[in-house]
Amino acid sequence: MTKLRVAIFEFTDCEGCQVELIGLRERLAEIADQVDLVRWRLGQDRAEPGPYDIAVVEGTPVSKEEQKALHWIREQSKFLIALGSCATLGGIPAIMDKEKRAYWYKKIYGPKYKPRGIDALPLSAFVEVNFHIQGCPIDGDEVVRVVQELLAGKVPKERGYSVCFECKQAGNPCRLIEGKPCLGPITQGGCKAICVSGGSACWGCFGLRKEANIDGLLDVLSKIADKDGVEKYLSMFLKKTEAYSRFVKKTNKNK
Amino acid sequence: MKKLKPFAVKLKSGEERQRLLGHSQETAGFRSGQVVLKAGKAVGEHTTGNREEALVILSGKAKISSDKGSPLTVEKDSIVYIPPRTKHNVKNIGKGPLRYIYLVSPRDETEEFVTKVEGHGRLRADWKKNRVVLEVHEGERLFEGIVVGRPASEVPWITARICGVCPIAHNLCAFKAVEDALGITPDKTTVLLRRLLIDGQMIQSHALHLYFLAFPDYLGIDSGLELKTKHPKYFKAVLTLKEVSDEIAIVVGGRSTHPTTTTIGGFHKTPSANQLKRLQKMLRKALPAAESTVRLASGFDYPEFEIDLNLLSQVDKGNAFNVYASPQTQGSNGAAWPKDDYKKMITEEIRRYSTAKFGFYRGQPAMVGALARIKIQGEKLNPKAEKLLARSKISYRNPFHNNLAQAIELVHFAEEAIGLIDQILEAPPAKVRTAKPKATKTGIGALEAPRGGLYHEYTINNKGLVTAANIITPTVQNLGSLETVGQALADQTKNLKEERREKLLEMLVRAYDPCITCSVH
Repeated sequence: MTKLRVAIFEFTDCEGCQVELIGLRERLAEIADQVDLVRWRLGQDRAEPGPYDIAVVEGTPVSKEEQKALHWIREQSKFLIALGSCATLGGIPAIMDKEKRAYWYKKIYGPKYKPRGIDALPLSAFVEVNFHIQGCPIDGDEVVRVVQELLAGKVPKERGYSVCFECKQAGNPCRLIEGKPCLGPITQGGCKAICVSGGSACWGCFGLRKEANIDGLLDVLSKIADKDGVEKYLSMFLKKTEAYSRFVKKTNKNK
Repeated sequence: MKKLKPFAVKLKSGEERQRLLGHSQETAGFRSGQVVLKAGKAVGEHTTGNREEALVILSGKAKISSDKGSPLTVEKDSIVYIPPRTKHNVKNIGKGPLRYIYLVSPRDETEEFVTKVEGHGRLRADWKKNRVVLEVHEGERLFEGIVVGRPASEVPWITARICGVCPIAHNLCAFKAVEDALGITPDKTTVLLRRLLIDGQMIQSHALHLYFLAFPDYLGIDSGLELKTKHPKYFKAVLTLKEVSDEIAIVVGGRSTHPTTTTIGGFHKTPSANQLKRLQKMLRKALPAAESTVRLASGFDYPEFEIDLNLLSQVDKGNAFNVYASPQTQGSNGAAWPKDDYKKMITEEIRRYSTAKFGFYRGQPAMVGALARIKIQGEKLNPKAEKLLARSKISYRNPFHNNLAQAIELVHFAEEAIGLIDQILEAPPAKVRTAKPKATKTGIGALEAPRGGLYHEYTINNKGLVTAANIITPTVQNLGSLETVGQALADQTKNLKEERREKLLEMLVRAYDPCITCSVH
């Protein structure tokens, strides 16, 4: 049987999700044996032209060049996977509003600078994405699961449960009950509640769970933090999602 | 995508060149045309960039020469394949006219950057003008704008995400800056734990860079993954180093990349004595892997190239090679200045071909990173590392030796981590120290990240919100040097073939271990 042709690409981001891939160590080497890794700029010179069976794309395409490349990758690939929060949600770069970029370009680079970046959006704003591997950074085990399912001819599915499920399994006390902000209830599981286990908050980097009760959580959060505080929570990773737009709508109504 | 329809074009017989497909909006990028050459004529040497090409010979006899293999002689009713990036020429060697059709695949819309480097950049050489420029095309994320208006407590969480290779360095540097602004001095155990964490970061980053990005050039392989079958001994060494350093990051920082346990003034959670003892055992077992890396890196045939590098390193006041303390910076030319002067000493320039700024020290290019650290404070290395340094033939004028310096540091940081664990085990538990912001204050944090001196500066108002931010990364400082040294390397290698010179430039980029995503932040 011929091996699946896999290509890994990255746009604007921190490349931490690829570092997590390398962090799989022996397991990455095993995956690399099972597929034909025909293109991976960070890892090799070999760069074969398309078409590809699977394209894995990390990062957000902020520039025109990157957006053009994304369309090309889409045309060349049967199955396109968005890798990590920058690709699935716009990630940390999406905190910056499109309208505010001009001001910051001037402030950071000076008046003569010609910027490249236009806006930080998820891949799905431009092309059809076949599967999202969530997280900032991703969890390596999820990559192994997705690859194994694809190799077995299955189409991987999203997780239907929230971070709360894994947080309880990890034995963490509930942040919301303790009066601390948390986005766990509306966030898709798969992270093993790693941030809450370490003592940090959950900012929802795994993206919204299907049928999440956003309004319910917004009500709970409004009792814990003021409007600005809730805005900061929701804007960390979820600015381009329904959770943020509903929050904005609600706050405007209450004005 | 525009709507395309099938169509046909009739070949003309008389014309020298006829465009057939893709010269208007009628294809999705596919191109084709007909060429007619008279006897003895050639089309001229050219490439089709990253596109593939096929030539269908309709009549006559042709010689097709290229820079990849011996010339081909073909006659009518044949098809010739030309791979991407192949310089080639078609010559009519028959008596009658040569008629052929070329078919060029759609352009690969991805941009070409140096491979095996963190981020998107390239040293572009114009060999005719003998000019080298360092282009950086990473998208701007504008971190210094992103953090403004947000609570200071979120800043280290956000800025860790400047870089996936050195997130711990950014995270801790941001905490140092925030604590400086708030007037918090963390307790001794917190500092010891942070030092252990940054040691883990150093080993993680160096091991990844050496075995995965830089060594393949010297071992004659394409990918670090090939070590598994071609050099199983080295593969085992890098796995050991990666595992132990990831484990330090996980046990102390909560995750192998972006930390979850760190907070202003301390740690949300600290490791247990058992976890630390286990780590120490792993580190002892990993030391031989670090030492074997030095032996390996000492045996490479580095390009012979020497230049004044103007090296800079942050240093501690005492006798320790302490990359976390960093109260001041020293230069190989004798300069010394306190961290708070960083903005005066390091100036940044904008280049039209780069989304990263280029850093200069007092207007001159300077190199930071492992080679600089060892040049400036090599006598403070831990015993095993110091011995290995003494035996090495390291040159502080050869930038390629940065790889050797990184290998020596692997040993140093493993030794240091073992010692730090002993100290932490005897120390009282770390306690989080807090302070409420009273007035608007600015704080500066500095530490040596794997690639050199890192500086974070934040102004925090009385509500605890950030009002201004400035970050200078090691790679920004190195870009000025990398471009200048790249030019010097081009100047000194005029007798070599272009292909070799291009390879050397690529190897130079990797030797500097640039973190381009860091530099654009």
